[in-house]
Amino acid sequence: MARDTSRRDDYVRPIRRLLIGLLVIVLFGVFLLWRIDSPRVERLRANLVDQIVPNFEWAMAPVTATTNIVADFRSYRKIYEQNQELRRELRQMQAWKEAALQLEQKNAKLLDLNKVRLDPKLTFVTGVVLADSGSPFRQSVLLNIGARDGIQDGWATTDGLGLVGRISGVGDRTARVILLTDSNSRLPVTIQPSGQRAILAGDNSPAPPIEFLEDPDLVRPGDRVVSSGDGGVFPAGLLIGQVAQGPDRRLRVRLSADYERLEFLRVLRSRSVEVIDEPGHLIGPLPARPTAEIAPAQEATDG
Amino acid sequence: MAEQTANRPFAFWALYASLGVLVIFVQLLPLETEPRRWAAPDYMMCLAYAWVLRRPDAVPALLVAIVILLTDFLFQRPPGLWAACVIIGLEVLRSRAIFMRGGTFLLEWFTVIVVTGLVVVAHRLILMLFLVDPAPLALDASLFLSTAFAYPVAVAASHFLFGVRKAAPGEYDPVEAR
Repeated sequence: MARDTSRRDDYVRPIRRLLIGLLVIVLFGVFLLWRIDSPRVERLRANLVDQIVPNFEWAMAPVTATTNIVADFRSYRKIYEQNQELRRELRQMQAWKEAALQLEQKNAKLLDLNKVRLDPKLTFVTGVVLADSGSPFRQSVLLNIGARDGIQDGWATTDGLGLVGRISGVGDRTARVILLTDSNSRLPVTIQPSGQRAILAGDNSPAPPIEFLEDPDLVRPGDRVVSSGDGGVFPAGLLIGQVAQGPDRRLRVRLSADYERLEFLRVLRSRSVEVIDEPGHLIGPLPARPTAEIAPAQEATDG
Repeated sequence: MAEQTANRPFAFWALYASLGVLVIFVQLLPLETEPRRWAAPDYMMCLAYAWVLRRPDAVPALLVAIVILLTDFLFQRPPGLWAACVIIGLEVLRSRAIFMRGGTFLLEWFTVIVVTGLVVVAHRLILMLFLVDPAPLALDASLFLSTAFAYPVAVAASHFLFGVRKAAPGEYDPVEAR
């Protein structure tokens, strides 16, 4: 039999090798295409996810719910301590509630005096988290709302309290949210009360570090971090979290959004942001100056 | 099952594809949205390597390529590169499968560990070469380690659950593969 096999190898093997080589080249070609024309391939990816993941929805929801119930059940063992802790927190909260009520009344009075109108564009669409990124290399979640609900790339997403991430990749029925913890996430922030500008740079850790801070001496752990609105990335003033100092003395942000349980997310309708539909170019002198002047004019008519 | 499918690998193809769907489903469940410090093994790669050393005809390269490419797209990896690396590793192991048939499990495990390590390192190097930000080193290292340790489990599951066993000499003709 051995001799028989080797004789057939004579022509089967080279063809097989050729086909495998072809397969590897095709796969590598997909990677190269992604590297060269990323937006197009990412759109393809968004459409693929849009086709596949909603089909899992009927099974995903019950399985996720069951697993979460089991996790909740485990925490019942610690219920007594939790109860005590909650009572303590409640006492503190009542003090805060009183303060908040007073502030609210004051604020309402001031708004009335000023005849302020809130921007009607700051409304939101709420979506349910369908799936996560599926691997620890990327931090993102998939929402069950997409282009048919008017979702656009670049819109901010919160969980009702704190900022969660931004929309990146919209399919017809789904939209992907890149979380602030993803290593590709960069967000201009303001640190209150000192007003320092910085960049919040995700690095795949639960508490992303603050980078490009002008004067670290003015920032203390516990300071509030809000989005600054620089570069038109996000509306200004969205709560992100609090400054904390990591064991490596780096300033990090403890995020206000509850990243352990992302279930319902609000996508804020913001004014249109720059659409990235072509691969990056070299940054050089601008060929036409007037483009820079048209942009603010448009914005003024929008607002 | 092994007797029934000795000459028909289609059952194994269907099994591999459906296991792929199951793995994608489980990994996409939004259970952990906090960043993790370690990476779970790449189950489909582990299974493919365990099967190719037992039944080379059970995992044709095209099938594995489609499944891994799909996970590339769905798990937000750079599409195609990981699949290409895994396929090269698969073919290296396939060419060794005949020599490994009589060997001990330790030798087989060692070979798979070396191949897995090379696949992970090659993937990382190519990413760096193309100026793509690679993942933190700890994640890649833990991916390699967990896949290495998952391999005996994958072999045991294949043997007892799925009936993927080493063929007796003469039971089938390896040239029919693919």
